Amino acid sequence: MNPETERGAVHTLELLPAQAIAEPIRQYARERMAAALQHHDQWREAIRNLDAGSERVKLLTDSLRDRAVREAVHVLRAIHALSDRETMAVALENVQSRDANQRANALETLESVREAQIIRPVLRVWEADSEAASTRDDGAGTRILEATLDDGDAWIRACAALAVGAGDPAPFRKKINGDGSKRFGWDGAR
Amino acid sequence: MVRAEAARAMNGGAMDGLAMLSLMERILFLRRVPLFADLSPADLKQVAAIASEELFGDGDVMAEQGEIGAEMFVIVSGEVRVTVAADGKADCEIARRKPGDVVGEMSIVSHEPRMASLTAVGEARVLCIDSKSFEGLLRERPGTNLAVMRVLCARLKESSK
Repeated sequence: MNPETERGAVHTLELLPAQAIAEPIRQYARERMAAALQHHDQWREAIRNLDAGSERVKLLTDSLRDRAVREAVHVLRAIHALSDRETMAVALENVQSRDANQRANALETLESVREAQIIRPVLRVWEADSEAASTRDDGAGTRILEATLDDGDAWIRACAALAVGAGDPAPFRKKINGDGSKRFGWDGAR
Repeated sequence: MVRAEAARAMNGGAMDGLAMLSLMERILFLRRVPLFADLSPADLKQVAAIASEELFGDGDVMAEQGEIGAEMFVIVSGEVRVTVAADGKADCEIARRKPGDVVGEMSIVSHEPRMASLTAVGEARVLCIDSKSFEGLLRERPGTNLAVMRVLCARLKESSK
C-alpha cells in the first residue's frame, strides 16, 4: 500500500467506532508490528556491524530506523481505535517526542492501556539500545546487507545498494542487477 | 570527472565539487545542510526530488533586491555574495554564503520583495526549491519550521551587528 494512503487510512480509523471490526484491526496491528520489529532488528544489527563512519551506511541505518518507527506508530494508531482514546492520544504524541522523559512516561502509559498485550512487543522500538557497542561481526554485516537488498520497501533496497557501494560490492553484484530500485541506489553510489 | 568528484565528496570530502547529482547524491548532500537536518531520509527524498539543479557563472545575478522571490537556493558549490543597495548608493556586500548555506528563503517565507541581491562568486552550483514546494514542505514537516526559524534568527543576529 502507498505509505501516504496507509497513514491516512490509519488516521481515519482513529475516528471511527472500531469495536465492530476489532479482530481485523488487531490482525493489521500484528502485521505492522512484525514489519516494525524486523526493521528495528535490522537497524540494530546494521549499526553494530557496518561501517558507522560511512554516510552511505548511515543513510541505510537511519532509513531502517525511520521505517521501524513508522510501522510502530501504525501499530499504536490502530490499537488507539480499540483502547482508551484520550490516554492513547497523549501517549502517541509523547512517544515520538525528543524529550527522553516524555518518551519514558509515554512508554509507561502504553504498558498499561487496554490491548497492551498487543502493543507491548513493539515498544522496544523506542527503548534505548544498550547493546550497540558490542563486538563487530563482518559476517553479520554481509547478512544484513543481503537482507536489506531484498527488503519489500523499494527505498530500503535503494539505500542498501548505496551502502553496498561503500565497501566491496563484488559479493552483491548479482543481487543488484535487474532491480530498478537497487540500480537507482547503486548508480548513486558509483 | 563528474562521478569522481561526487565520489570524492561522498567519501567524506567537502560539499564542493558535486556536479549533476543523482537523486541519491542529492539526498546525501542535503543531509549535511542544517535546514534539512531534522528530516527523515524518506522526507529528504521528497526534497531532493522537488529541487532543481542550476549552475551560475561568476557575476551572474541569481536574485535581485526588490523582486518577489519565487525560489530559495541551497548552495552546493561555490560562493554567493549577498548585497544591498540603498538610497541610490552602490551595492554593499552584507554577507557571503558558502556550500551548505541556504539563501533567498526570507522572501518566500514572508511573501515580501527580496531584501538583498544574490550574485555568484566564481561558478556557483545550487539546488533551487520553488516557493510552492517549500511552503508545502513547511506545512507537512514541522521539523523544517524550526530549522527555518533558526536560520531566520541567525540572519537577524547578523543584521543587527
